[in-house]
Amino acid sequence: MASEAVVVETPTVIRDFTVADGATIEQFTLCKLADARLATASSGADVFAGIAMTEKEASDGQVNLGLAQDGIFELTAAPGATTIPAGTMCKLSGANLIITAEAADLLTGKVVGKCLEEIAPSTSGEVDIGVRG
Amino acid sequence: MADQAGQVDIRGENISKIVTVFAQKKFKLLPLLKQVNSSKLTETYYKEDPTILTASGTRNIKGITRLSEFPSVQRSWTKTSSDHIKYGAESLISMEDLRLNAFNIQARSINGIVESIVNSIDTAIYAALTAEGSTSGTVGAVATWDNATATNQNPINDILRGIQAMDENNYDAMENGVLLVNPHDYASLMQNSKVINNPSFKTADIVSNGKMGQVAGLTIVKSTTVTDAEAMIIVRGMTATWQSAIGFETALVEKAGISTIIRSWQMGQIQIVHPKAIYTITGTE
Repeated sequence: MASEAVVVETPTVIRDFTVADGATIEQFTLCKLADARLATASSGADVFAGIAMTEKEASDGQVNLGLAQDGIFELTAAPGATTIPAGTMCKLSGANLIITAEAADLLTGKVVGKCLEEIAPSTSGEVDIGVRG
Repeated sequence: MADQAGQVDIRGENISKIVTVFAQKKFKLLPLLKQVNSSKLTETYYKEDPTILTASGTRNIKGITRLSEFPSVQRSWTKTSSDHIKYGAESLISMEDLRLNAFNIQARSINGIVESIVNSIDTAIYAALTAEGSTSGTVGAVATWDNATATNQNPINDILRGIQAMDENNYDAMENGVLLVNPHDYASLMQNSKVINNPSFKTADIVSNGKMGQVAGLTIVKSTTVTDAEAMIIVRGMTATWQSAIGFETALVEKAGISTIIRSWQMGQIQIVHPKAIYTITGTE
């Protein structure tokens, strides 16, 4: 995958999520959440689970993966989307990509965090990760 | 899947514990500054006006007659205050990576963090030297030092004019003068016949910590921190002072059994106390 997050300020809360043993997840991949506490790599406008802090290889016997729940990361805005203004909440939009969030996304847990700078399409900018809203 | 003879997974592999391809950036500019320790956040100093004093009005220093009053002259100083700046970075490493990785990830991480701080401080020092407004001059080179027409290249002239400008401001660059160049301009200097045939040129027989020989009485210091197409003359230990409030310190913040944050920092500031001991040559490439 491409456009993995880049650590800007070290996260302090990293929590384990269940992953399939057969899954391959690159370090710093934006992950989506499914029942029950299952994390997989993001692929669309998914519910955000966190950012993978270590690499998960396929069939390595690991069924848990630590995901960052806070910290500041550089994330990439989806190509073709509108520019995300500074201060705006953003949500997932495809593999490791973000777009501007809407009000309803807060309730459905899709918000990734708050953009600390303006992020134009296909460019990256700093986002304060806030899984807990 | 179980592998048989001829398949990849059972082929032998040696993994070296020695990490290669690391280019350590060394402090090049910091050692050229006068080193002073500080114990307070704010440092205040005074910049003296280097202008030679003359008598005001119709009076003259020369030719005071019997019983006459002396002409009055007044030196001036500018009070300058600034706070120390903290430089630092950290790396988060899991307990497993720290203890079980193929090589010493802690040592290499500390090395990388320190290098990032070194680079940041040297960049800040050069930026401060460049930003100083009251220098002996910022003058364009007669021609680029890598000019396609070799006869147009004349770095010796550019350097000597810089020394002259500093001399005219009463700073003798022949005493501990340093020529800061980037690698491109260094290469241009070393293949310039006017430089290497100049009687003042000394080859790199004293290579240590970035010293790359001498030309026109100036020690050449090569650093990637120096801006492209620019060279600078300063006086070692005089032009500027590095006020060190906190030297390099490193801490390991351990979350037992989970992770270690390796954190390094340094705190200090540059003070340009003799701005006239700076001369910048632009348009060198």
